[in-house]
Amino acid sequence: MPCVLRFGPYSIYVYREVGGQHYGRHCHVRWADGDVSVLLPEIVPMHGTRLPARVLQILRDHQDVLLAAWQALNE
Amino acid sequence: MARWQAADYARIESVTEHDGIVSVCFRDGDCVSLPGARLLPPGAPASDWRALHWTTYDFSVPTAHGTITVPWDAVRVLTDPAFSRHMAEEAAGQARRVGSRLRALRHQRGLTAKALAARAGISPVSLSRIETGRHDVVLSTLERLLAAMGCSLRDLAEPVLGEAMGAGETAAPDIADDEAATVAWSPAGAVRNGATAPR
Repeated sequence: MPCVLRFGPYSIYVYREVGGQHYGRHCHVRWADGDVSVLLPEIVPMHGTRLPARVLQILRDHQDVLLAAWQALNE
Repeated sequence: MARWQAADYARIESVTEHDGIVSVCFRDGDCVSLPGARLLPPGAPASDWRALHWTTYDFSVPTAHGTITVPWDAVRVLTDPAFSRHMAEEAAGQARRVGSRLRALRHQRGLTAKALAARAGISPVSLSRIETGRHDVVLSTLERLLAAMGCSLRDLAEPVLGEAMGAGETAAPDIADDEAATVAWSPAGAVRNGATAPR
């Protein structure tokens, strides 16, 4: 399971893109009943969704490991 | 509201496989089928679909090189043209924003495009394409460009000015200010084909 980071109720996942498609670097921010994609390295939620500021700050603080995981899987 | 802003658009109800065709049903009622090979990395070794395992947001299949995990959005991109266009637009938007940010950082440092390109070891034409968002730069080149300006990837992150607002509604739970994060991944956990190592 490609889980990269955990905090509070959140787990952050990075996947390898499939099917030869490339739709931008992103991670999945997931909790018990939700999943929001966040663009890397900008740390911007996709699909017009919203996340608490503290969650965005933790993602920003761990930007390096999220990007390293993306790079290892996709570049 | 776009269909993908509804929570059930992302939630998987079931995943089955028959004769190489994978069928995925989502909680919003959509059921789609596609060849399993399209969901795996090119050249992925033989997969054992009998051991298919799925959760609410992804599914996994073991292969000779480890387990391949496919998220919900990968299925949607391949089966919903409107969502695929939306994802392409999101990616293009990010490329434009990153390019603009790089150009602004270069201007702040009084560097010409030619000088920065030389420092980063890329051609001025490539730099122009990156700065105008016409080329989605690979991470290693992005890091070289930033390093050549004394910057890092953190300079590309959007400032956190409060709750990120948007049209979609996700009841994401708040957390305490002192909540600490645990890193659950290391490069050693990744294998060459991009799968996670089997547990």
